[in-house]
Amino acid sequence: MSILQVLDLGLAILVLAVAGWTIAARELFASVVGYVAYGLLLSIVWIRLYAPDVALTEAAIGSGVTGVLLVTTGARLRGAGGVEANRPPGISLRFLAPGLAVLVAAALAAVVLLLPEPPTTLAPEAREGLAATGLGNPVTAVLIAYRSFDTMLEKVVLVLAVVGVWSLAPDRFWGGAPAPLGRARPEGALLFLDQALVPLGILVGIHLFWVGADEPGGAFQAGAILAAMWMIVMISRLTEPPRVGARWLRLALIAGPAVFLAVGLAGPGMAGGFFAYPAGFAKPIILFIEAFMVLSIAVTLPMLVAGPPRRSPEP
Amino acid sequence: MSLALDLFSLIAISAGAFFFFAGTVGLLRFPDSLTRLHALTKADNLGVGLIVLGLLPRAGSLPMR
Amino acid sequence: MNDVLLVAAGFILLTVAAGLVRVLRGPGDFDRMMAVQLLGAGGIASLLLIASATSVAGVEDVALGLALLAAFASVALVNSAETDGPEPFEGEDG
Repeated sequence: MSILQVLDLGLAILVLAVAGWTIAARELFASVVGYVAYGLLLSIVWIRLYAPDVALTEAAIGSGVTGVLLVTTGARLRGAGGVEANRPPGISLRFLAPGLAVLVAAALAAVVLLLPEPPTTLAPEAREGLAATGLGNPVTAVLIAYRSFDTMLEKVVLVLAVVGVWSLAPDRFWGGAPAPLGRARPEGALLFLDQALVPLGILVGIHLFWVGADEPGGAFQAGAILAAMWMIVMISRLTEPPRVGARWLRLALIAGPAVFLAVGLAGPGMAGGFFAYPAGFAKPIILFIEAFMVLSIAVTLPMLVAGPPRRSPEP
Repeated sequence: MSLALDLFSLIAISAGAFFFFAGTVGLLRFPDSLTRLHALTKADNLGVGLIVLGLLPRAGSLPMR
Repeated sequence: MNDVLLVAAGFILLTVAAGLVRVLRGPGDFDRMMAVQLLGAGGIASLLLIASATSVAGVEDVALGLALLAAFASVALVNSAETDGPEPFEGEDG
């Protein structure tokens, strides 16, 4: 076997082992750490499958932000009185969850292994259409040009998720701020990390947004990194989660899908169809939409992690 | 020139892999959580730095657009 | 040269695997948190080596993102660990 095949085999075994450990872990914290580790390993697998955009998204959202969401919520639920944290799941759940997971995995494996040889693909057509859009990255072209309506609806789903999380608050807290993300007394090392890492992270996030038109990157990954930087600053208590009723926050949350929808509705006037971009002017419009998408995603993800408001709006 | 660059890459990457190995040995053998953390972070990140240095000759020049 | 890079990547993944065995077994949350650090460093190194050997383009940004997110995940995990994490939800109407 060639070296590459040995490497692939080793990587696959490692991923399966970490996944198995994550499932078998007894406590929430341990399983979330296993999940983050699994996600980081999976991004290496994506690179082996020649998909750097997916690798970045996996590392950013799949393991980074989701892991933090799970562990932060788990830590908060641990302190809540009414949750029976140590009751093991019932026998039917223990069989149903793994059974369904195995079923989905088997279906995916069957689909991939039974693909016709060579597999039918639209990749050549997608690449041919790139010249008209002016972009160099086919993933961005698919997301914002070929299937733009779909991507806009995904952003609306994010807004709905935030509304859902906020609606968990009792009536007297509506409009107030969520509880602080960090501990009462942050250490000095964390403040030093803020000064050293966060400006760099903001720069990398903006760079990923800008370069996503032609190379791996894009709005979602850039927004996730900016969100991570804001969350670091909130964890070190340098800034607190904003009031849920604040107008700037709400405007920032809807800016992405609103601008996207506005451009789509202006399509009939500009280029003759809903969500059509005028030829030759497509790339600036796409970057314009993506800028607001980055803003929305960077504001939505920390609000999801921060949770429902726990303070009343006016003292 | 290319041979010299390849040699440089080889040396730097081997040194990086060695530091990873040293960090993992420390991680496995040290008695205390804090000492293990030290071995992990210091040695492994030095290894990453050396490997990145070794990959620099293969990166080509920065495209200016 | 590509073979050398792949062998180095495989070696680093091996050290990551060995480290993971130790770290994930470690009693207590503090040891387990180190898994993120381990995978952050090892993942970046093997990512760059594999991508350079198999000519995947644009992978430096992935490595940058991975570095930032490993740091972010470490901060958030330390914050949420067992001893005095963030403010808990109230039990009644929370």
